Amino acid sequence: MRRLLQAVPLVLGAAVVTWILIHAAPGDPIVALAGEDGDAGYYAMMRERFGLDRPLHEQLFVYLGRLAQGDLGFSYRQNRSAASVILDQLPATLLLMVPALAIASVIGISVGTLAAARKNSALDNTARTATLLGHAVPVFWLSQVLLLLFALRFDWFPVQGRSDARADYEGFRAVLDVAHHMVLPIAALVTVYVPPIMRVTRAAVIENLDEMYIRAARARGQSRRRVLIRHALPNAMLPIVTVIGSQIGFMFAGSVLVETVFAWPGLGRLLLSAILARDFAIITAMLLMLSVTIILMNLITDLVYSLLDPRVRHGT
Amino acid sequence: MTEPLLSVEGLRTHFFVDAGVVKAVDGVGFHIRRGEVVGLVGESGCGKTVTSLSIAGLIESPGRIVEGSVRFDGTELVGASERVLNTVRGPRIAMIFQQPRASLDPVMSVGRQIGQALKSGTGMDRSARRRRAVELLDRVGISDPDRRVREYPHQLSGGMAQRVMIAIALAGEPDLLIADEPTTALDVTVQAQILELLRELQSANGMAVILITHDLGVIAEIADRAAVMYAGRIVEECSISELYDAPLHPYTLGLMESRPAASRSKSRLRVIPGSVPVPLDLPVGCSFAPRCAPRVESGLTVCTEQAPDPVSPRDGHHVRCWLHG
Repeated sequence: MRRLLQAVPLVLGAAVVTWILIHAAPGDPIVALAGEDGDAGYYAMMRERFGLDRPLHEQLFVYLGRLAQGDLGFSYRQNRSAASVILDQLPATLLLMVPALAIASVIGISVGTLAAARKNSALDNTARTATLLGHAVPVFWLSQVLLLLFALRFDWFPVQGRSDARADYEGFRAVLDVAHHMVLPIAALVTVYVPPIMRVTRAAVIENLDEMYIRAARARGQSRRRVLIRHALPNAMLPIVTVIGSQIGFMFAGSVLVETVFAWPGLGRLLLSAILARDFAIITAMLLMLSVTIILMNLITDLVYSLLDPRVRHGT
Repeated sequence: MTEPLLSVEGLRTHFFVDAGVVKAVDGVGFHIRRGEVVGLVGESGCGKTVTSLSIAGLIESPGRIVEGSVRFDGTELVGASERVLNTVRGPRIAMIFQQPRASLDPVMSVGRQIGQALKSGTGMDRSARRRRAVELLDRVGISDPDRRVREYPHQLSGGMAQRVMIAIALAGEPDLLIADEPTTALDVTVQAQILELLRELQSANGMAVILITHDLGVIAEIADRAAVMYAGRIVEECSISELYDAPLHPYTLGLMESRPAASRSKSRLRVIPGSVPVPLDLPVGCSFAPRCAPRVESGLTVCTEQAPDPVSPRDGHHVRCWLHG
């Protein structure tokens, strides 16, 4: 609860900073909206309507005042509230992120644990090399390669979008269609998420395998495998949870690129188009949402800590 | 005489590290009969712990048992499969360690860790294991065992943690308990309690005990026989009374003389000159020769040329020393 209160000034600070940054950036939303050679009177009318003619600090106070009432702002471009635009796109993004993170966690934790158990083996070396590659490859490039190879060259998966625009599937068939469209973007996201999870798992499990309680557990007849799964891994979970939690915050960065390449109608693409259109309300609302998500994830991570570790639970 | 419960012969455990081969245990042999308490004494780094881990098959890479035999109740343990070893460790040979709190899994409750030791072989269900865990905690003198069984290691003091470790060790009713410096990390008053508990349980259960320690006082308290280790070898093995009254090896003599004693509390402590040889670079001949005053006095040259084999000047008293060969 105290942590929650501490988060309030943090969110406020984030809101002010993003708002100032965006208004300091060049570009005029009205020009972007109405075109470059429009009527000056029309420009002025629009500016007045959205309050853009007032001094900047006044605009900021208006923004913060509305924010305090839960109003995230108004999208000039889409002519409706920023909140409703974002809520419309959120499910599509979650549809990619949740499975991608789940798959990446399972792969990262299991491969990391195995690599730790067989330190310096062929499996470990392969996993570590793959991790380095996964780290080094830019996700937009990887997305395009996946797209070129598996969608265009082999034609196994659809190229872009969330569903087939030409077919009009219903029921289960529609679900399958969406799932088919999800494969490539999720594969790209998984490639980005796995390396940090795997690396942290490997390091934490190796560290715990050296602990004395591992030897003591072996001394009471626990097999190597049981010791790994029942003792080393649970003790390694804290750093693993931390890295997964922190990734959720950074996911948007990856999703902007992946969603753009695969024309996925999610938040990432929305953010990109909002930036191009100088749609201030959408940009600030999304960045604000992002900082709130990161702060929330930290809180949730702390909660999971106390579930996993009795020492945290008992506050020692 | 019946076959000993445990006989270790010519055991060599070496560690293959970048700098070379560390011969942590280099030709250790001894045996233990059922119900016997043997003290394994020596300075830090002489190979006591590696010996005990070798017996239990718990040597991890880069270490390896390169030679020798560990026969336990008719079964050869060196080279035995993990499956066999997993049935021996715990129910037949149990171990307790120097750092009791670090030897307990911090995120698993005390009861579950005792339960693990009960699980192998007994076929008890969960609630039966829980009941037995409470009984065992009670047996090792932990008050309020119903509550303690649900607690986690960080809620225990060092002495209590060692009692829990002993409860885990007792769970399988082992024939042999290896206690590796079980009291070193504890307060003096707690040390005495733990030793008392070990002695009491040992005589009640009739299990054999290998007590590893650098503390000769501890050995005197509970051991029947003692084996003195130096630089990876057992240099002397004899009964406790002979260890105190008539030690033969110059190293053992040095150890006995370097004990602080109340009667001569004002005089300076005697020390053994020099230090334990680096295990990477053991001297040729007897490892103790460079520090051995009696050797210099006697003028023996063989000490620095050839390692002595064990000899038995008295019945049941073995010593590796040219002065007695």
